[in-house]
Amino acid sequence: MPKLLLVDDEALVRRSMQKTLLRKGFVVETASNCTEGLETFNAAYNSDAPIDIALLDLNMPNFDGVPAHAAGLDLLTKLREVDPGLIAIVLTAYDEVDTAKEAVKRGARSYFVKGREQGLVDLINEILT
Amino acid sequence: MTSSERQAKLLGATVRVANNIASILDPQELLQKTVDIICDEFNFYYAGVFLLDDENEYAVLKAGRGKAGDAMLSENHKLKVGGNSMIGASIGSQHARIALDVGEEAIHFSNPHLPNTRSEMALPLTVGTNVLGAVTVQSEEGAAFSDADISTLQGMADQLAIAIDNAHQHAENRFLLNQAQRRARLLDAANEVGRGVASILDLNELLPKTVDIICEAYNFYYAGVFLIDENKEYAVLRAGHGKAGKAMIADNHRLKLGGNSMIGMAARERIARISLDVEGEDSFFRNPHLPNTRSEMALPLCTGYNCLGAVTVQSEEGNAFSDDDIQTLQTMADHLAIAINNANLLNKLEQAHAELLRTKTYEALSSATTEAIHWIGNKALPMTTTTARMMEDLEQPTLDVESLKEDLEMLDTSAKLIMEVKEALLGPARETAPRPVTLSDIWLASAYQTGLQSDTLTVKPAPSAPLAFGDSVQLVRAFGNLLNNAVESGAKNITIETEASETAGFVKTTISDDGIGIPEEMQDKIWASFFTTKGEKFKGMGLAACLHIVSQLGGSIRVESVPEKGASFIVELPAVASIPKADLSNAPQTIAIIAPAGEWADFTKEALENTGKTVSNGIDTNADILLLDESLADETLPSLGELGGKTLVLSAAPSVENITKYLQAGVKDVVLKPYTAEELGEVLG
Repeated sequence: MPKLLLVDDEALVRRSMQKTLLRKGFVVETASNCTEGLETFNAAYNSDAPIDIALLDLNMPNFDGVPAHAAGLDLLTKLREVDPGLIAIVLTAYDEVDTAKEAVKRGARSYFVKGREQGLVDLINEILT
Repeated sequence: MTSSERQAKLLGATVRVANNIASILDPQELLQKTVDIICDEFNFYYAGVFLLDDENEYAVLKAGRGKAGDAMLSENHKLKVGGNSMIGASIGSQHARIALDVGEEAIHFSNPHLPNTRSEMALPLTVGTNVLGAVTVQSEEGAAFSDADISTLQGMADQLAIAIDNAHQHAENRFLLNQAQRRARLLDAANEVGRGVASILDLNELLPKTVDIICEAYNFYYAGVFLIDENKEYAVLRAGHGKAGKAMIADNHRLKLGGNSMIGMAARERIARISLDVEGEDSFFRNPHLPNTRSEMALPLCTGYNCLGAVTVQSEEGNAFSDDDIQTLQTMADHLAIAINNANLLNKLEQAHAELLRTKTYEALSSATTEAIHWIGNKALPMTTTTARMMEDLEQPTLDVESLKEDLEMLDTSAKLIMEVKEALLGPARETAPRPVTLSDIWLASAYQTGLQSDTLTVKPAPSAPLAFGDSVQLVRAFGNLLNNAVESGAKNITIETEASETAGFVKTTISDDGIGIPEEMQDKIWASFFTTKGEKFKGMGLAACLHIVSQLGGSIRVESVPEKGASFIVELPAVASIPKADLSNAPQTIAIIAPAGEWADFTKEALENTGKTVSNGIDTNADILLLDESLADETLPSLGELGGKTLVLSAAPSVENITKYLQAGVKDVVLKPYTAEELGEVLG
């Protein structure tokens, strides 16, 4: 089954999304900040089961542990340095054109405004097919 | 008349001329008196005095006897030096010329005003080698001058020459003295303008002051300052002296650069234009507000290659400006130009600062809005997604109870966080009722309300710390947030200090902790709502509420922190200047105080004992009334029994929940804690 990495600092959001994705049959690894996300990704990358898709919250603590508006993009850059072919979806609480453009520039496949989890599931399935 | 009589008369005339020379200071009067004495005493037909003009080309008549003299004076009668007149010849040769019969004198100048002249004497007025002019003496008789006459009159002429020379020197000295005094006055004026230039940054103050100084110091008719407009098209009047100035400012008076005005020319060409007689000046602007202008000076206001405007100075007199005036005023204008340039730079700096402030404010608002949207989105999102999943689950043939329970817990947690935010937003916005409060006691009340462990907190009030002027309910809320903030940062020790502020009229209270501190780059952001460095469980509302409350009370709050070594929040609040005395005689006689040791207990005991009341500490069955501090209410109420009916619970920030609880436990009342004798009297009265 496709393996997803979900990085989000909000525990309830993370858990709710994880539950929905698990039910749809995905393998879901979670992390609550950039540092943890990179560690989890590297561990999977060096194993037999690397991450297929990374779901990265945009606004969360950065690598210094300080909340930052576009910390998810910094993580995206680091992850794609490790795996340039990585598929990544940036998650955000609200749509913002400039940040979406920046996300695509840094290699994100898509930019998803959090709201309806089924929509995310549909997006992932679309990308995988 | 005998020869000896005439000799005596001549001597007398010489003495009178000498006396006049000594007593008459006005040169014109002296000359006229001299010709009159010569004619009266010697009985001559005519006498006159000529003085050389500035070029030494002509001898100009300055005084003349009788109608002939008046007529010649009015005709500005003058004779060429060395020419065909006895006067001209005597000056040219510096020797007396005497014609005892003018018909035989080749160089006698035949004068139509003096047709009867038969004898004439022209005596040069000399001082040393300098010739100043000549005296003419004429008679109707031929051979009228004796040797004695000639020698007496030459002596008289020599004295007159000395007097004229002295008068010239005196006039020159006076001129030099006036010039020195004027120069000193101008320097004073320049200094005054210089002081203004150095100290006044507001052009609306500096420019009118400068034009007034110029007019008063130089006694000029008018002065004004023009500045070039933004389009560099006009010089616009910014300050003008007197009524004319006011009227022109009201008319928005302006002159086109390079146009037909001295100001327009001076401002465009960047060179001074000076007209000592404006009638002959092509570029003079005839201003109806200044009809009497005869001389005008337009001085450019330049800094480097940049011309900012020009100064106009005008006089009612022709030829009004000396070289000194022009030099001093141009220096003044140069200083003024620097001041105007500085004021313009300051203005630009202020505009840039205001723009920066607007940008920063917008950024701060934008950042706060972003934080709020993010926070609300994250707290509300699980509610919608969880509800959707639960509805799907309920459609399934077999219910996953554990999953449903987990989802319900998520819903509950999200909903509670949102409700807490509602109170955090609403609390600081409640109406305030400022009054004198003891800050150390407010901190203790806050510690009680937040459930802080007492061994964590040390409160150290300075004995001289004044009361603060604030709302105790709001301050308990604000200080509670600061205490929570310290606890959440992992502090093991929290210290509170209260003292008089370095800022007069304020009291300072500082809360210091040994928690993780706040990174420097975060110290500006912590005051925004929904911003937190402590993770998702925290609302990020506490410090924003503190800032709101303290600001509303007219105080300030700031943070100092070294990461990993703790943080200090410094709150400054208005101090109470004086506390009125109060009459506590109506209070019950015996009063029990049940309160923690500290400033409040000491104040209450002292105030009551000073009015002869008996005060006991702790539960006293003989007391007429018991004052119970809210922080000890939970542990004390069960022991009170019947005494509850005599007990007042005192709270710095009573909550509806606690009031209900205490009243149901049987206390007499729950009241706002008093911090002054006046309030104590009202509570006990």
